[in-house]
Amino acid sequence: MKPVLSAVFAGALACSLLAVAVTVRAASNDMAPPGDAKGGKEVYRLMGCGSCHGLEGQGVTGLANAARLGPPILPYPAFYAYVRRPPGIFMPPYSPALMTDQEMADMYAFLKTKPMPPPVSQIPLLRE
Amino acid sequence: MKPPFERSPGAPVGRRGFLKGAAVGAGAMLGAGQTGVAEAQAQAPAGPGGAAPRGVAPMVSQASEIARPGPVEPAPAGKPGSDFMIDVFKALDFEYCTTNPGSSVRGIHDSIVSYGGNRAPELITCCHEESAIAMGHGYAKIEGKPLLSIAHGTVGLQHAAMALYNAWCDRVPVVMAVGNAFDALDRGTAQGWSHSVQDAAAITREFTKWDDMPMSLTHFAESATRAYRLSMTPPMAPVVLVVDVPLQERPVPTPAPRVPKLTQPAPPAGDPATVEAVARMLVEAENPVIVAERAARTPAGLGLMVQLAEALQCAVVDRWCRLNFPTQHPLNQTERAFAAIAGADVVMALEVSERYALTQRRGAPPPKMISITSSDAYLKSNYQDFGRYAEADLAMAADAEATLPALIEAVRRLIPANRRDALAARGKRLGEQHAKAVADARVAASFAWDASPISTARLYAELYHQIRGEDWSLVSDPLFQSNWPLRLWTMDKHYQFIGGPGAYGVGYGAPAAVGAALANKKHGRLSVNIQGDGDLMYAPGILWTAAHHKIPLLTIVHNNRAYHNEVIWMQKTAASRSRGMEHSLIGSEITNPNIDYSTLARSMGVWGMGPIGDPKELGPAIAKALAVVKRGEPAVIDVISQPR
Repeated sequence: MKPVLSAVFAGALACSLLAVAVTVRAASNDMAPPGDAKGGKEVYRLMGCGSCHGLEGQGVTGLANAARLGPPILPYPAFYAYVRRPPGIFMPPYSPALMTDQEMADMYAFLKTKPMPPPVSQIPLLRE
Repeated sequence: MKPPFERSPGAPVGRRGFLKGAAVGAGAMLGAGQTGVAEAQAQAPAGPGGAAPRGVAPMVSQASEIARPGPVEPAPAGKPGSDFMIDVFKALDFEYCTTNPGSSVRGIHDSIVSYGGNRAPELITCCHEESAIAMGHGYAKIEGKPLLSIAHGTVGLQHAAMALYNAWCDRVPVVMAVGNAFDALDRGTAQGWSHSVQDAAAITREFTKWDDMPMSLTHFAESATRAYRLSMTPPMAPVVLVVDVPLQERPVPTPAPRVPKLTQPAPPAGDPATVEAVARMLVEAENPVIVAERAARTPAGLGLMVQLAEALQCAVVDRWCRLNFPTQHPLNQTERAFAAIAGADVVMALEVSERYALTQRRGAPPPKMISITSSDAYLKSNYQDFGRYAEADLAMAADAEATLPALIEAVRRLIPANRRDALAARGKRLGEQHAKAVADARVAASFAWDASPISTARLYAELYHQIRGEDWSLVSDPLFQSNWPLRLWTMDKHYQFIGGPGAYGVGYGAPAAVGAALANKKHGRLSVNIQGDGDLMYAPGILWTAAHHKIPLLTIVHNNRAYHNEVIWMQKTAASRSRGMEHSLIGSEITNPNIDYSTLARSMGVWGMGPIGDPKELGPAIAKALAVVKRGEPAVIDVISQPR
């Protein structure tokens, strides 16, 4: 088995995105083109995004820190740019050959369907 | 040190005498057609004092692929050598001996269960030698000392090699004794030859600290004692003893050899001048950060880390190879590790193997680096677990925990009175940053809270809710589950977390958890293991070991149905090549069919439940499983989980 990525010292941008993700609500003026959320769910699955970002886009920490995607924290143009040319060494680039522009828009539409969770104060198990 | 075990006078003949009688009859039945064997026996030189021919019983048929015990020679008079070996092992205070049985250690095996009363050490049966060693790995991290493992010197040691490598990288003591027939006359048939080797320990020499092949019982006593001592001296590591089969059988001479005294050397501590220089650098720093990987070897080490950090009011980043610092201490900055280290002007690395990344900083001067690690005094070159060369401004080839008392004293002495307010302000700021980081982590945990497959955050929260009032011990590594317990649970006892495999060799998790649970058992602790599905499938027979030896352990299978780390790598590779992702699961997923882990557990005598995919069912399932564990048995819950 190949060695795992460092648990703590992940890419700077992924960490900062994650730090932003936990506190910032979904971008309201996201400048997203029209997209099909149902198709986008399939794109999300086929592209394997859930492996790192969680099947619900909830984000992952520890190994390969991966920001929360659902609901999105980045407006669409920044999201698009990030997926096409991610900084750092952990996330691979998704070229148009792999994911078309429409597929990207569909996936963004899917991620927007993910609700914000209730406040932690309303989840007793997280207050222990 | 306990006195050697002495057999009670007038004790019944027991198993050895019974076998001797049975063997005479077997020899009569099997005498025909054994010409080659008889010749070998006739040619074998007589044993000491003109006793029965030397050598062990050869196999029945040289063509046979399955070895059957051949005619057994009458046992030489007197106590067999392996009985004395058990005297030595008892003197070394081994509590347990794990084994997947091998005929080349049958002498030791018999002496443990017969002569030694199967107590201290007690034999623990494993279904794979890798499990036997990994059990020792987990046990040692709880108990602070090794257990003994015995196995074949060829096939057994090869199986065990992965686990030995994990223990080597994780700096954990393991003592392994393997059998070998050094003399050609002692090997018998093809199987015996396949199980014999000229230099048995060579295969693992690059990742064990020491090995020896003693040729007499006196030599054995000294080698075993030395092996234990070396294994337990930082940097701790596995050791291997190769034990010749005839040495186990030849009678103990008169007078019997002496069992030497074990004196554990004090671990190497930093020299006073450098300790003073390190203390001064830390005291004068504006934003010092301590990065600890295996610094707290013992519970005392955890306390010393707190003393040092509180004296300096500085940030601590825990790399979680042990519990180096209480998780909810205000100075714990692990949740915001990157930012803490990026802002540091001095970084002190305590028993950190890969330090290079700590010395690199883009667009700004790197921090001053201090390194304290015993690995600088001892390492090997072939396996590269020592990491890239890292520059340091001050370095000590010393054990971090052993150096801490002097360092703490120096720091306290050197802090000037006019710095105390600034340090207090720094501590207050760090506490606020810690609190915010943990609060952010709780928010992160709330996403996908009710999802199915179950989120790992939900899994750990449900578990913690039910164990937080107990004396619990997390005997697994949550690296593949977003490290939730290390981020959100309150851990302030050394045994509450023991780190991971060391070399990231998969297959460590399940047996190490059982080994750690075995150590926790006598302390009455509740051991919990979040178990990777892929890891479990390397050698699931460890579940049987837990059932057979009544080792209480709650195992929750993090069933993401894949060797998920490899899924990530495959997807990254495919995407980087602009290839479709549709093939990326091939070779990595564990589906079609889905493995039923609760049935797997039940097949081995372990209480099992699941699969559970609804998070609302998790709490009741955990409650039921905990009831099983609290009555002293292992239990498994299969949980269909998010990937990480």
